[in-house]
Parts: sequence; structure tokens; C-alpha cells
Amino acid sequence: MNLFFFLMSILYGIVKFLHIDFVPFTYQGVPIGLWIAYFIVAVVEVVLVFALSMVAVIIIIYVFRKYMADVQNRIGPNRVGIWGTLQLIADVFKLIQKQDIIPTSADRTAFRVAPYIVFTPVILGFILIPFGNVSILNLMVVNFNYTILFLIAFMTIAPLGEIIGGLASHNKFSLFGALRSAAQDMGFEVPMLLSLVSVIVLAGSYSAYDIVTAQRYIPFIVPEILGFIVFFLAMIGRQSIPPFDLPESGSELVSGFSTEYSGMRYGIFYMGNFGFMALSAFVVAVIYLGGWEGPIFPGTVWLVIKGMVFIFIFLLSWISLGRVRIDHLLQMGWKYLLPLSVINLLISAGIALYLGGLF
Amino acid sequence: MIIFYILSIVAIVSALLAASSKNLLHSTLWLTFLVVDVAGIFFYLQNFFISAIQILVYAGAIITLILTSVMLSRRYQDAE
Repeated sequence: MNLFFFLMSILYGIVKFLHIDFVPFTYQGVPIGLWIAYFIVAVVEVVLVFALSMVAVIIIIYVFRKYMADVQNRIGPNRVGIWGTLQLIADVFKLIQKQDIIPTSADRTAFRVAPYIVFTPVILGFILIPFGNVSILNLMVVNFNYTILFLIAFMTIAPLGEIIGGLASHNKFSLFGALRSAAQDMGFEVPMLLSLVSVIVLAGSYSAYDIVTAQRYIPFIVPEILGFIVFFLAMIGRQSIPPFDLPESGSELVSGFSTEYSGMRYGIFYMGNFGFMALSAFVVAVIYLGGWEGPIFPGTVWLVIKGMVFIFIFLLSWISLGRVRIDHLLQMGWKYLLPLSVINLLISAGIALYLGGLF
Repeated sequence: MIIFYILSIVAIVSALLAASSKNLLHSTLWLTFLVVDVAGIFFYLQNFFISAIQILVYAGAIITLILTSVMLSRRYQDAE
């Protein structure tokens, strides 16, 4: 292949990146010389989304610390950088320098693997979020028919790492944390999936793109307010932040499943948790508030605004609410959220049957 | 086609390791790897729905149940 054709293919790839928003999985139908262009576009998009998710995590951690300090009448981080903005980077350097401690009785392999099981699905999930559909600010990396299913599938893998980490530590507190994490998972997974099913019924598609375009007139929060409440509570539960922070409840179990973790492994758990918070805020914004739909601003800006609203609600619940008891939590999951999500599914099935033209 | 063979070999090896490992936790980890790998095979064969359901049901729910039962098993507690 000569240089001219190569450069043309890169140009073609950039044009594709700006206007059309999917990278085909099969390269059938693509001219042979343009595979490289498609590959480059795919790599660039994935790297962009990875950078975006990392930046989102850093911003959320900074905002969380400042906000928490404000609520508790403190100043918060204020030494490194302007207003303490570089504190997180300093913290990362501190964590990297720390001694790498693995308890002698721990299961070494599983102990090492666990943080990545939390971290990787979060990054993979960010690739599937539709950040916008028009103009330059267009970061939908993949668009195929089952994106929302894959998003939720990745979100169900992440808590597995917490259980494995707690089990591998061979520590009473970690074991309790893992047990509670498992119970909480099972309690919240079914209502969460059922309320997602009702969204899929209304939109008539498994694709996140179609779910957003179905909400161009009425966002799904209006017909499905019950489902929204269930899904939102389940999202708070899946992140294990207060009031549902039983897996790592600081005052009873030292810090639950992450008791034995220190250094960068703890840092990866931490980043994974905050990344999960950002991911779940974006998912709620996509499936209930209409994602990128909105006047004046480009789509990505709208999605980030909506996501930030949910992130602030998560942080507010983290800072201000007390912890519930484990039996109350499971009772809520199985006895209240599950029936509510079933009722919501019936309501949305009725809407889809009789008022199908609305969406 | 080569991707399919790589994924299949990884699946077979991890299934053998899951069946033959002495440590219950390790064998659960290999089983998780196997499940995600099989999801990858379905994805490669362009059956995206089955692939997503494979991850959702097996890696999300079944492995959690298996881990809970490992946590409560006598052999695991004795090792501790």
C-alpha cells in the first residue's frame, strides 16, 4: 500500500469518526485498504473514552473531598496545586511508593486478581455509553443492538471482585464484608434487572442508542417513576455507598473486604468504586433522563450535566445518611423493591401495548 | 478464525484447571475465566445477545452463588 493511500485512509477514518458513530465488528463491506483507518479510529476512540473516564474519576474524587469537607465544616485538600486540585495525583504517587503488603495467610493469587476484577468492567462499561449522536462532540464508540445489556452485564461483574478480595484476605472482617457484599448483590440484582426490562419494553430495543432516541419527547422517568426509584436505589446499593455501605461499614468491620489491602491495590479498588459511581450515574441518565437529548448544547454536554446531577445526589447520600441494618436492607430488596419493579413492568407493558406511539 | 481457536484453547485449559484445582477459590476463579471466555466466543460468533446473557447470568449471578457456598464450606473454613 502506498503512502498516499495510507494517508487517505487515515483522513477517511477521521471523517468517519466525526460524522458516523460506530466501528463495525466485522470488517465485511469495508474496502480492504480502509481496515487500518477503521482500526485507528477504534483505537483513538477507546483511548479517548478511557481518558475521559479517568478524568471523570479524578474530578469526582476531588469534588467529593471538597464537598464532604464543606459539609463537615472543614477546608479539605488545599495544599497541592490551586485549591488542592492536584491532591489526587500526589495521593497516587504516595500509594505507588508504599510497601506492597500481602498477608502471609492470604490466598496470594486471588488477592492479586481481585482489584482488577472491580476495575476492568468499569472501564469497559464506559466504552458502551452513548455520549452523543451529532456534531464534533460525538463519542459513541460502539453501537450495536445489545449495548445496554452489555453495560448491565459489566456492572454485575464488578461486585464479584469485592467478594473475591474479601475471601482471599483470610480475615474475619474481610469475610464478613464479602458475605454482606454477596447478600446485597443478590438482593438488588433482581429488582434492578426487572426495572431495566421495563425500560427495554418501552423502548422496544436493547440498544442504548435506541433507548435514548425513544425519549426525545418524554423521558422515561415520567411513565416509569417507580422503576426509576427502584433502579436508583439499586444503583446506590451496588456501589455500596451509605446508606447501603454494609460491605465496608467502617465502624463495625474495619473496612470490610478491603481491610487487608494497602498501597496501589487499595488505590485500584478506590478508583474502581468511584468509576462505578460515574458509570452508574451515566447509565441512570441514559435510560431514564434521555441521555444526550436536550436543547442548545451539544449532546455530550447534556449527558455530562445529567450525570453530574446524579453524582451529586450519590455524594449527598454518602455524606448525610446513616447506615441501615443488614436485615432491613435485604427486606427492602426482596419485599419492597421486587414487587415495585414487577408493578412497574406491568405498567410499562400496558403503556407499550396501548400507547405505543408515544415513544 | 484464529481468534476462535485461541479462545477455544483458553476455554478448554481453564475448564481443566477449574476441575483439577485443589483450592476451591482458585477453581472458582478459573470458572469465572471460563465463563467470560465462552462469552467471548459467542461474541466472536456474532451472537451478541447470548454473549451478554452469558456474562449477566453466569458471571454475575451463578459465580456469586458459588462464591457464597465456597465461603460457607468446611474445607475453606479449615484452611483459614
